[in-house]
Amino acid sequence: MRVSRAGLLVAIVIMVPIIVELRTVVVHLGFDVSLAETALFGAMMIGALVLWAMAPDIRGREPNGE
Amino acid sequence: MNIHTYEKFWLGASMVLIVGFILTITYGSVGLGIAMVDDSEPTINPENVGDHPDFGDPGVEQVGENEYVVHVVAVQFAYFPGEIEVPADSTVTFKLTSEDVIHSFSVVGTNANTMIIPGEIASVTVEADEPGEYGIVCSEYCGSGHHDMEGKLTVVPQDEFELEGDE
Amino acid sequence: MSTESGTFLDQFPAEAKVVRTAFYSSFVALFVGALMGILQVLHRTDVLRIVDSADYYSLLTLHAVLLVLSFSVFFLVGIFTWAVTTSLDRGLQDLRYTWAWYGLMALGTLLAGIAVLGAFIPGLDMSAAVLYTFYAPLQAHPFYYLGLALFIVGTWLAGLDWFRSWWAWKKDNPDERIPLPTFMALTTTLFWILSSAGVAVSVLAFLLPWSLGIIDQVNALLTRTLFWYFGHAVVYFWLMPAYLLWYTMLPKISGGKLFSDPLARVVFVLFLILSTPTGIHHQYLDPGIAEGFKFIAMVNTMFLLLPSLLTAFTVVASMEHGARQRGGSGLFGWLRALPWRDPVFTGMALAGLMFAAAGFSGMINAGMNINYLVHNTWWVVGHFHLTVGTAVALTFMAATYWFLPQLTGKAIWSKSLGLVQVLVWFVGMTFMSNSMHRQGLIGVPRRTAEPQYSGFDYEVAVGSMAELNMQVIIGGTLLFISTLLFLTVVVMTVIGDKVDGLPDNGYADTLSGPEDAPLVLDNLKLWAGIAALLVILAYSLPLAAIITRGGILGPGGSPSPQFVDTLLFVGRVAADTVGGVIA
Repeated sequence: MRVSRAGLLVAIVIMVPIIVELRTVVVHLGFDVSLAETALFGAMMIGALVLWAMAPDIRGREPNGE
Repeated sequence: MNIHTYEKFWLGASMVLIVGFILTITYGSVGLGIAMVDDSEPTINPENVGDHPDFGDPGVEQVGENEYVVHVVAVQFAYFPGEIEVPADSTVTFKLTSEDVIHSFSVVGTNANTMIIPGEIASVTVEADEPGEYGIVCSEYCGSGHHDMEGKLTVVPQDEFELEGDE
Repeated sequence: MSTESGTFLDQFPAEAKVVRTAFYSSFVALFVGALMGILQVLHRTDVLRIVDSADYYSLLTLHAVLLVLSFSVFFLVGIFTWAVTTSLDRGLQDLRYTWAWYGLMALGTLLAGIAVLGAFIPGLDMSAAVLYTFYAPLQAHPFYYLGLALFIVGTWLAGLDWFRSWWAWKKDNPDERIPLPTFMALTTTLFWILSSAGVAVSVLAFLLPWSLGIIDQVNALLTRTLFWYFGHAVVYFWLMPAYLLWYTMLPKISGGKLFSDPLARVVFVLFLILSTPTGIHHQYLDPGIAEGFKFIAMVNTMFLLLPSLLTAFTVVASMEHGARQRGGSGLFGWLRALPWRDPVFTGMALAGLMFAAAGFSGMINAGMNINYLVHNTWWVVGHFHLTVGTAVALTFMAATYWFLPQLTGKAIWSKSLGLVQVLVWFVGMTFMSNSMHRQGLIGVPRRTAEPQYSGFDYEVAVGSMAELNMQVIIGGTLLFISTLLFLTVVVMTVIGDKVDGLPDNGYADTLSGPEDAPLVLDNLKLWAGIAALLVILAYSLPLAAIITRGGILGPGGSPSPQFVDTLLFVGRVAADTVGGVIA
């Protein structure tokens, strides 16, 4: 893992406001995004984050975080 | 005093930001002419609002070509008049006072918004551009029926506008 | 630093009991306040209305008073008592005095609470549905004003207690710099006394005599202005203990040192001198106050951004230093080396992050002509749930996971649950606050039981009103769950057994220490003098103008509701109260 489990959890949590605010911004830019589309997009972003975190650290270094 | 170089940079950027904020607001006041509700109106005794020459008979009044003054009295839990009609493309000055507690006069979704304080007369001038219907709510808690206090502002096309009593 | 190592409980058992009691009082207030919060969420969104809409405002009053005064200030006096005792390494001068101010604060809260809850007791002619701002001519039962006055006097005496410790310490250490945590407690106390004098005058000279029927009327604009003279400084009063924790605890928890002691002192001095002469920015839309006074308040407010921006720098720099000490590297890679598993760290870091967001919405509020759009809308409520409701409350909850072992000698029951708790708070607040801001922008008012009107519909820019309300419901529910998780961890910890091997009491060292700070920074008399001068400059003319315009007791008007007319009436109410309590 590239980050600790707690670190990953915190990263996911910080994604929440980004996803919520992104929808507002995107709609103001003129793209109509529904609630379901936002949820799907959010799930994809979080999924990507989890995949990134789960991949082995290519630099072969253990994170020092607990 | 020992201040880190990065911190000095941050300090400078912060000051620029703050001065920038103040300048934009000042531009809004001076350049765009967005005046604040102020102390230009006289005080009024909230117990004798009914005897006041203007607030005794509140409502819409034409004061110039395309210029209107609307006197409104707020009480727990209503506005008098509750429904206001003004013509489009006109300049409207709302003059507001309260007979009892503090209220507000907030035209929903616009920046026509002011406190109404007993003893004071609030005066706000707005441009009524497009025809349309707007809700007016009291956004300052005024007692147990606060949530029932609402009014309506209708901006009608100029050719459909008639002052009350002109019919 | 300390003559005797060990936890705070080992070092100062009697003071630890004071701090513990203050914290427990704060947590009781948190529980009741949060319960009121979830009831309001469900009421406003029309999901569940267990009280009449007319009584909603009593719940709202209780929510505000218990959370922004009782929860935050009880926790504050605990933190500051710990900070002064620990950093001066000496006990309080006289514990009987200490318990006396605690008792006054507790009695004050109780009286105000009784006055509010009296509205729900049939036959008892008592109510205080005046909200936390108690704008006259709305009138509360005298108990409410009396309770607030006692509470505030209690906090003044607490401030004096910390000063007494410092004076005694100074005699023994004439040439030493004031330790940073004590410096923070003392500067905060100074602006608190300066600012709360305004609300004390309002309550003692006008509102209390008026509620007792001694005077017939008050000047609504004057009492409102006196409230806001205090009402903005009070938000910094809540915030300063959170700042103290960010400066003195967060670097330590991150594994490093505080970046700069001198800048921390500068920040607290700026708060001392600028907190009070800004209150008129809550009155941008008030008639009867000249535009120039509003502009001055705005300029002062904008400059208050400076200490917060400096804090953002120092806190992040200290965290980065800590992370690098722990082996973190890279431009952003150091973030991974932070102790995210520790709820003390994660809670405070997330609280700081949300405070940054709150700074942006705060700037909108502070811009006097932009304020027309958002004044008294739900936007403002969204804003202060990020500040006092997260930057302060979440920091306090996170800090509790460090303090509780120090105060009880017991280990935290479940740190994992603590981590979940702070994360749930963050997510809950994201949903609730985002929706409040957006509803505010389309004109949904704050402080209303039923934001549903018959004559018009809101024009929602993104999504629908139902979506926005659903967001508030989800957010509010998560926040309530988070509060319950927090209290569960606290209770389970307190009823647990004492353990050995807890970390020692202490706070962060500094990279750049007090020796780098000019001596003038420690001259509290100078800064208090400048603060008082700025207040006089900012407030003497507006107050004089208001009094000249409307008269000291106002141009007329009657209280609402009129339930206490004369002194005789008060006698009957007092008798009823006693009767009600006995029955």
